[in-house]
Amino acid sequence: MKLIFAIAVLCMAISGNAQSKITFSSQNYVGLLEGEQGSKFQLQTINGMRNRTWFVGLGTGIDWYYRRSIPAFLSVNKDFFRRGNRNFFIATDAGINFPWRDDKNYNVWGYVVEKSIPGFYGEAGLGYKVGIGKTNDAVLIQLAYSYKHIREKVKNIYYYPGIMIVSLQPEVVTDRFDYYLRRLSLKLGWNF
Amino acid sequence: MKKIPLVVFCFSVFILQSCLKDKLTHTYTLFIPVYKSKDEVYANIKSNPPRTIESPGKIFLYGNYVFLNETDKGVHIIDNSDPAKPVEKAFIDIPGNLDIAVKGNILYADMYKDLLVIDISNPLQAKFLKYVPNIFPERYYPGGFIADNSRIIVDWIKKDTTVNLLQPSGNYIVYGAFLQSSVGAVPTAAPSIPGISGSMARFTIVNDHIYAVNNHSLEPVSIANPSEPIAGTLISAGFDIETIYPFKNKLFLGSMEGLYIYDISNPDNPVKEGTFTHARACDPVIADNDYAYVTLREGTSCGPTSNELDVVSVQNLQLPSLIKTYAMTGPYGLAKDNNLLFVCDGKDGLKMYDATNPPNIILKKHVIGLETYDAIAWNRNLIVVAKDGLYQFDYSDPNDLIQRSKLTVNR
Repeated sequence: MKLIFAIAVLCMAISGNAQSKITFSSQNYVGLLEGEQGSKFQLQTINGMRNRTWFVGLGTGIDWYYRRSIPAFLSVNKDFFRRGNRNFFIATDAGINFPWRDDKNYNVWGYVVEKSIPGFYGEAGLGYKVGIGKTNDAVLIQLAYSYKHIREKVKNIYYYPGIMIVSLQPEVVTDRFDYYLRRLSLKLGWNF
Repeated sequence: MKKIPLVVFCFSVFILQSCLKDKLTHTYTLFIPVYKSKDEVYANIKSNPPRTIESPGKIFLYGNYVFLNETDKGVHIIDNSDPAKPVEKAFIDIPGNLDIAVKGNILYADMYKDLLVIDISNPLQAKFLKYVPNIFPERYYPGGFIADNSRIIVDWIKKDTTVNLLQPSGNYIVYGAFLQSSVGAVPTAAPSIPGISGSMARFTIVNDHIYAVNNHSLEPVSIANPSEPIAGTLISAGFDIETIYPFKNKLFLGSMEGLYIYDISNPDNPVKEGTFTHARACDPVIADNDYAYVTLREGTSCGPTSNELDVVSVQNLQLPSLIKTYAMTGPYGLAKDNNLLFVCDGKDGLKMYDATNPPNIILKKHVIGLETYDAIAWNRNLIVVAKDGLYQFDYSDPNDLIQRSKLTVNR
């Protein structure tokens, strides 16, 4: 997280060198995630600073795809093809995907989960922004490729390759499941 | 030209679809068997150079020697002339070995389902004589693994493996470690040392017979001619039998369901005499004239019972009755010499009780800091198999245990 904040500050500093007007900007999305595991909802809020055609912010949300999780990420947008109060933009997000829960009481493939571990979160896509009136308010629509990784450690009891004997010390070990999840993300948002 | 956007679109869809495939992986430990031919294995059943103790199992005394089972690997030969300074002398390679016992100059050891006969007239030059097949027919590999019966598994290679998970499955061939401990002692070179089976043993010797327990059966094997064992008739003996302990002309079988008492007045045909049932638990047992001492331990395969020591009256063998229960932490094997009772209470260490009055045994000494499995008490020397080594204690003082030595486990 420290790294993300550092990058955010750096980006803002770079953009600040050529700045004429830096304003606070907030993007708030609802959307769908579509992949092999079906369609799921997502919610996101990204808050940061805008300078001309650049936006840099920190985002978080809830991602219901396969394993519910909370991504926390740095978001960088670049506007282009501006026509009046409308423009396209490229959006890229990168950060950490935190599992929704870290409990020890649910099963995966017949194993009991011991710990859920955060993984990488990333998204890249193309958006379209329609400004409303003379304010900063705008409607956003974005289509993106989205990726998240979740790792789950599960308990497993291993038995010695021997035999039917009086069991003294079954060895409890940890297996690992990794979920590399790739989705299409379609989001509709409000910018202010 | 108008076709170009369409081509680009189709290409994009194709690329996107391949990028949208999820990947699920399962990382686990896989054990791969290492086979050798039977001839190679039999040729290596002899006194080889000593090796470090890694997973100590059952043990017995033979004159000045201690024979210590290395779980699933073989037997350590330890010179115990001075219990304060035991010295590892040799190692007999016996893959699949868990239990050992001795009569005369013959060491009997299991190798998976077979019973081996090994001449130990000179323990440092042990010689394989023969094997009796299928004495332990109920042994199997967990995880559904089926071995190649034309060869013998001598080792397992541990390998971390990652596989793509296509469907939910937990059925991999994976194994971990059991530690198995027990004690058995039989005299030969030093006639003053009697045969003593540990409470965790799965076969024992009484006079001219080996009695071996399987999960549901008891099998007498005649060793009237020690080098030529003759398998007897398999007897259906109960359920989930774990251990066997001889006392006089009785056999005490510890099972997860209870305690079975067999009379062996006719040694070829043991007859069930009594049963004491208890909650499902791992259950080693020892006995003396009037009482049986049973430790109950909860465990993965044993059920969620309480951890305790039960003192059971066996004055009426047809109707054993519970006298008193003592709370324990996670007890395994136990041993008794005269009025001193020793309980291996797993991670809670070793406990020595004054059992002069069995309904009211008194804790005299509690040794902590070692994870104990089984013990044999003989001639004021207590040999204890623990997770981290083979300990020996002096119990001359009935109020104290003084450590004489420790052979350390090197994992």
